[in-house]
Amino acid sequence: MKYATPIAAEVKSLDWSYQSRPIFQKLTTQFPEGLFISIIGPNGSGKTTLLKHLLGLLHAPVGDITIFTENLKNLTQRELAKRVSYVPQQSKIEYDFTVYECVAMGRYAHGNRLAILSPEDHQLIQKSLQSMELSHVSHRIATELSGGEYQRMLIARALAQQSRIIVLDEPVSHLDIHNQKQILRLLRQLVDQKVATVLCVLHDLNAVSAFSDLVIMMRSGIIVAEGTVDQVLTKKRIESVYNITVDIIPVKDSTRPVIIPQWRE
Amino acid sequence: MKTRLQFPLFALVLLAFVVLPISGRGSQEQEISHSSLITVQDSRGNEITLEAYPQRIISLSPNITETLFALGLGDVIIGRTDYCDYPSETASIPSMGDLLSPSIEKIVSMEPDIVIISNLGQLQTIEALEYAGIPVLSLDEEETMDGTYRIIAAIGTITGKTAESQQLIADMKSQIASVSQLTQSERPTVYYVAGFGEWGDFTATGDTFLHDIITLAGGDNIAADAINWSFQLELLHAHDPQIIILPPLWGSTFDETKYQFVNHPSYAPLSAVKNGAVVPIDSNIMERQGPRSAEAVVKLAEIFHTLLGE
Amino acid sequence: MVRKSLLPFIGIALLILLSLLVLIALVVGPAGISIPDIVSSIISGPEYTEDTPVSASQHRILWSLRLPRILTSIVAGVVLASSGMVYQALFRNPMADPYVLGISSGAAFSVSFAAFLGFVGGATGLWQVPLVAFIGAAGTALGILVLSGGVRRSPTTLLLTGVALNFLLSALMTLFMYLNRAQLQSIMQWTLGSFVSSSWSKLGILSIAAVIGILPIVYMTRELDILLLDEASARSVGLSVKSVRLIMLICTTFATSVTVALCGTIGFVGLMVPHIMRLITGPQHIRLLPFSIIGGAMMMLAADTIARSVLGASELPVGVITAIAGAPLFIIMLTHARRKSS
Repeated sequence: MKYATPIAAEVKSLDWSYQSRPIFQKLTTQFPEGLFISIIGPNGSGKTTLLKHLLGLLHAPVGDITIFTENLKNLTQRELAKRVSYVPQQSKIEYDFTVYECVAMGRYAHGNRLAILSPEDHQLIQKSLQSMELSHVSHRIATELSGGEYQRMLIARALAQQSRIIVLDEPVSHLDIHNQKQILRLLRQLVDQKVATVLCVLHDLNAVSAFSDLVIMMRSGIIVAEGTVDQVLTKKRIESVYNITVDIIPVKDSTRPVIIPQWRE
Repeated sequence: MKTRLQFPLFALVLLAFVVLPISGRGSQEQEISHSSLITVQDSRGNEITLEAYPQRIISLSPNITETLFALGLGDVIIGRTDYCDYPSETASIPSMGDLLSPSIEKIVSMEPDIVIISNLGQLQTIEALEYAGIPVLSLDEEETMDGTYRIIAAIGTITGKTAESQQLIADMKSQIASVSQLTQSERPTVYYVAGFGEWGDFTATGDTFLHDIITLAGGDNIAADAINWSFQLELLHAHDPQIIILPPLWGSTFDETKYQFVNHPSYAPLSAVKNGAVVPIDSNIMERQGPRSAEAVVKLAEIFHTLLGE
Repeated sequence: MVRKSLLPFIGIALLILLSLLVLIALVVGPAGISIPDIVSSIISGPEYTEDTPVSASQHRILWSLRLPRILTSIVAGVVLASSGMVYQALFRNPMADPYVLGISSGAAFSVSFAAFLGFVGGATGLWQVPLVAFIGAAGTALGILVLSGGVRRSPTTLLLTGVALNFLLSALMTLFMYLNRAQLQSIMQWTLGSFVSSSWSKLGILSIAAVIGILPIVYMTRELDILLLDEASARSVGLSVKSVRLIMLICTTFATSVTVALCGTIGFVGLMVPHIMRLITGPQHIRLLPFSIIGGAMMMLAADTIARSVLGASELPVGVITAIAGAPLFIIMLTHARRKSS
């Protein structure tokens, strides 16, 4: 697909095998800047693998990934961290770091030797905490946080990296509805305030429908659809990719439908 | 208990106390009249009894081997250990293995009349041999010269060489007595090196046989108050002995041992090192409680005398 | 965890305690030198002249025996404690200690093997046994790194390879000690660790190794914090996980190998000190490192002083003291951790 807006990240002809099973073959796609992009697909379709390639955690033998027109291979870990940040699904740390200290780790890529935090660092950390509504718990031990608070802390850490792309792998799958809404709205805010491009793997199709600007649908390592919510989330597409019957309910004055799976069939 | 049963029970017990000793004495009298039985008490307090003097002896300790040869029993020894190296005739005697785990099978196959074992003998060895029906004479006496005499005497008794053993003991005693006349005047301070450097400092502490030999030779062992071979390096420096006895340590010759010792920064400043009073000695004659123990005392006394004279 | 504002005061208190321990250690010893004599000997300097108010042997005991021994135990404690801290971060495992990569079993094995072959004997120079031990220690660590696939693999793979190799080497060591039974006691003695053969030259080498081992840690405390995150998070935050792991491993393994080579395998200090200090300072390494250093110095010095004062004319190997003190502490730690997590 060709986009008018600048491209945040681009994947060109990626080949990737795992234990001699081919997963990606000439995978190609673009992620435009300034959008809330959702990546969806059944388990095992390669969503997480794609994210890992974007984060430089996996290195494909064939193909290129560019981040803001720079080839990923030419970036050091630190330089990459300044451009792309990562919010994992779960990341329990067994030690008693405070919330502030955890978020402060996000400043690592910007630090110098001996890594003493500058006043600017502290400002940014506090801003990140604020935007994630965590200022009131910044001195608590991170492991004492609730699930929702902990996830917001991980996002705050990613924000502290000042990266223009934030990659999230199922950030709300394990949270209750209230927390899901809170976090997705905060992410949406980041995009609306032009803080970052959000790249998010999501399972809840209705969440995808409600928040995404762009949806990328994958199956078995192939991108089967790329486009806006109403272009991708069609009954035919969902049923063929997920192998489940759904009803699509259009919403008045909106291009974002509601998807209802037929549970009792 | 019912009163009815109590009295008969009591009577029975009383009877037993009267009858049994009488019967025991009877068998003892039987023993004395049986002149062909030879008995000796070993270090465990066990009575070892043979019907005749042993013609096939296996020795499982170097000091026992030396004692047997000294009593003229060289041709009666049919087995020894790897470490039995004196006198040279031992070379032609087959070895049963090392001190700590000799081959039980081999010993049993040789059909000895008796196996004699000393203080390095392991309980497992003794038990295995006795289980196989072989009499074991365990001579693990206290680590003094008196203990040595007891070992020699016990061997003399079991082999019928009582006269020879008494003579040997008397000779040893007179050798030692002659030495004490020599050393009355001045007792040099002495330290015996059993281990040094990386392996830790070990010496002939007061509870060892080596200590006895040093003292009889006229030396004042600075480690007399210590026990269990271990000694602090600081104390060695604090006492700063006049003479250091340095036997060649495992895996090294005397020259190598002396070279390493005198050049080691922890020992080089000692007076004995600076004065050249670091002397070798054959650790075998020093450590084995046997016929050469008196010789060890004499040799040591001569060394002290020579060094003090300088 | 203690309030951060209190930490400098606690640090100073610990330093004062350490100085006290040094003074006590100077005074303790079977040679029975009085405190005034000790003071005058120290004041009059290392050279013994006619004017020195104590005897030659007393002066020598203080300057050639006690002083290098005290300092050696301090440096050894520092190395082991800081290495333990690093290993616990590297392996993301609070049960890790500096010996998980086979350093101790490698050293003990090579010493017993060398004794069996006759390369080292009862009369050894200053450097034969340490050299053999160092080759065994460093060689084993290298072997484990290579066998497990290096720093590319997960720390768990490294740990498991280490466990397996530890078992193998211990078995082999037992075999050679059995075959060479007359020397079993000597080798066991060495393995248990002691500072008996301390000297100024050994102290010099140990100190150089300590600096090589610890200086990089000072610069990498932030990296160590981030290493505690899962792999993906650590890398996405910008940490070159592989190179940090490699540098930390090489430096601490080197310093620990030298320590083991010169002092034997002294256990528990590397495991316990970072643990205990973490309770005071919290997990951030920029605070944990200096406290672990002081804690390691204190624990080792105290253990060695006890080892050479509790038996009068004899000594215990210092590894025995650290084990006796360490094991119950370890159990307390475990129950404390279990209670916290449940």
